[in-house]
Amino acid sequence: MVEIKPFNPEQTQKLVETLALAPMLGEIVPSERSMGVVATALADYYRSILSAVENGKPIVLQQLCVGPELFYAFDVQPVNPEAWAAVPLLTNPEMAVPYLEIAENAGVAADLCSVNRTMIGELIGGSIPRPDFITWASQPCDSIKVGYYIAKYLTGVPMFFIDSPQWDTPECLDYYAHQVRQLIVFLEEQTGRKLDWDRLKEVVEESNRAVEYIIELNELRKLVPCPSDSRVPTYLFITFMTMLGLPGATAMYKAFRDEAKERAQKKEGVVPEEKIRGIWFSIMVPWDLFWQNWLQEELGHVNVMDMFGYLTALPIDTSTPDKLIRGLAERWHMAVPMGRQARGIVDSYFNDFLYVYEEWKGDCLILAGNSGCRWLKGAYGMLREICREREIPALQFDIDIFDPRFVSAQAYRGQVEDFLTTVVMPAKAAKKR
Amino acid sequence: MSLVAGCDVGSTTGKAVILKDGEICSYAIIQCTPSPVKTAQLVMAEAARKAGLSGTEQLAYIIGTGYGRMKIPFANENVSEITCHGAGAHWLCPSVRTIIDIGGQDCKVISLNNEGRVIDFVMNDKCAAGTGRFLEAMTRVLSLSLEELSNISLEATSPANITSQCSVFSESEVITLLNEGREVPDVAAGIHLAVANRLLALVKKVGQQPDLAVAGGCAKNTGLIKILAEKLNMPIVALPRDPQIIGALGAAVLAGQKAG
Ligand code: SF4
Repeated sequence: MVEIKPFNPEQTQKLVETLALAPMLGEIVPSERSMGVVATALADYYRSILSAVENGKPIVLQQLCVGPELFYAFDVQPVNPEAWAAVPLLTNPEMAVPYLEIAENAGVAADLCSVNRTMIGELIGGSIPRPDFITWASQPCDSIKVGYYIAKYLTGVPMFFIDSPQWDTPECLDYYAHQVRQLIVFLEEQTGRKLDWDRLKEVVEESNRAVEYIIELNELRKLVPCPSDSRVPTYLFITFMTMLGLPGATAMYKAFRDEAKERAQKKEGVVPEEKIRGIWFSIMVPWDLFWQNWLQEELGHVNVMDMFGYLTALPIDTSTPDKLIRGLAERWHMAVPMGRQARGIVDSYFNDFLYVYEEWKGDCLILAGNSGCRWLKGAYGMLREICREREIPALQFDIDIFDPRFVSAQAYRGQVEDFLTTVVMPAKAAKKR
Repeated sequence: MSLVAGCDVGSTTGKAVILKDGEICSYAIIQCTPSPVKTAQLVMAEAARKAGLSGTEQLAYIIGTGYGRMKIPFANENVSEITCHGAGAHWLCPSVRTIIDIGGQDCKVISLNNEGRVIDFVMNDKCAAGTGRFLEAMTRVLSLSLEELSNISLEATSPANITSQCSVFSESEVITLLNEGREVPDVAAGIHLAVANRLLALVKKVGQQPDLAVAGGCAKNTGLIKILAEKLNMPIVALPRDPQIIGALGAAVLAGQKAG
């Protein structure tokens, strides 16, 4: 049996300190204003986790497709391992490497998606708090299933698993909603507390306000030029799966919306001259997210929408417990990026892309193929063909989502740059002629 | 008189082409030195010498390309290999729509429209399989030169099956096949088949459109080209100039456009 180390908060404390500096950077460098806003919200999230550990508050290891709303209503601290691993990459691109190695040394297959390998390495290495219980849903992929079973095996804590149906029919959603009710029973058992429906209503109403801002923000991103930064969609995703239902998250989405609205009113884009409207409809490169600034500033490329920012969540009707539960089921099942796209129904992935491409007035498609992700990569070839038929310039390159050693930044950046300058810009110029 | 040049510093060879009044007046190919700057200087000097020039001063515009393009000290600008290969192939053979460039340590497939504009490309730059390095490694195992490997594979009667995924595994597979008594021509053809399979997967990603041409040093390997054409089920158009200079030629063509 692999031994797991006790939680060492040092790395998280350092991360909180670094994140706390970001708003200052935002004051000095206007383009970093968004980063400042998101960093403040994330720092609060990490602080609340540290304080939960200190005060013995129950901690749940919460997979991305099981939203945080219910946990906040139960006063349980959710720790989302996908975000836990991704956020530190913003401060150090190699942050996941030691944990990937710990997982591999413990016998985890090197071709398991690094999202899950990192989680396992962090659990063993004591960089993530040991949970009191685990909740996860079977979408988006098999890699997640393997990862969470290993997490259960390592920690030995109780686990609740939502069996995500393949389709989105009313029957499928009923089935999902039934499992959300069972999750409530599970949480009542684990915490020894009954669900306070008024508190859940309060949290969900807060999340609804957040969702309204997201909808408005994403509408503003459709404008030409795009008034919102290329990295914002990734921040939306990270905070959607970790903090939805908290006032801090709502404030952050409002700040993004306000920033975009202000520029839109002045008819300004996030860059002085928008040359390319990219649609990154795949995973992003979290360990190299700041390169998006370079693409914006040097090449006038704005990532106007990507797979992570395409949040299809709608406000939930909270008028009755049944409607509320049904709304949560719909949101978790259908609106969580990556979960929505990689769960096996490729048609919805293709339709989503074509819709986004039209609505957000894209110039091209960019696909970053994660080395361990057979689910999304399997669909990329077909999506490229769809693009070829429609004369949509498309690029696919390989990287690893958390491991910068797999393909270097230099190698993948070269391909993106070549694609934008060699294929997309001339194609746009030819269209104008 | 207008004199312009293109200089392509790749991972294994440096190439330079000089155009005089829109025609190829000279070119040179050399093995890379450890320094891309030196490689560029040496290959350009050689092309200039062949053109009867005393140096690069008489060249109105020079475009650098290739893996070491940022390091070419005398280039007026640098352009990606993809654009240059597209421009070079289109200039030589306007009917070409698909170019497979097999370089020393990467390979790419480029799709062109009828104006010679690049409309798609795909690269393999993280694995030696399907590149010149792969073939070089195999020649060492077989104790053959690249030319011998090419010729001997044409005598194959039943090409061996060799993995197209990893050159390290392929080396041990080749040794095993030889130990099992497989004929060298069959093993050589199997090596070419492995490269062809790898390239085929890339071609399928951008869509296979005729005419199709192969650029890079490996285009001179007739054994590989024969098997590749069979796998593609399509003839491969022979470029009327040395296929190894296509990138440098494209750079020179673009330099000519810049110089007016
Ligand atoms: S990147 Fe792919 S394999 Fe990894 S968690 Fe997401 S869907 Fe699963």
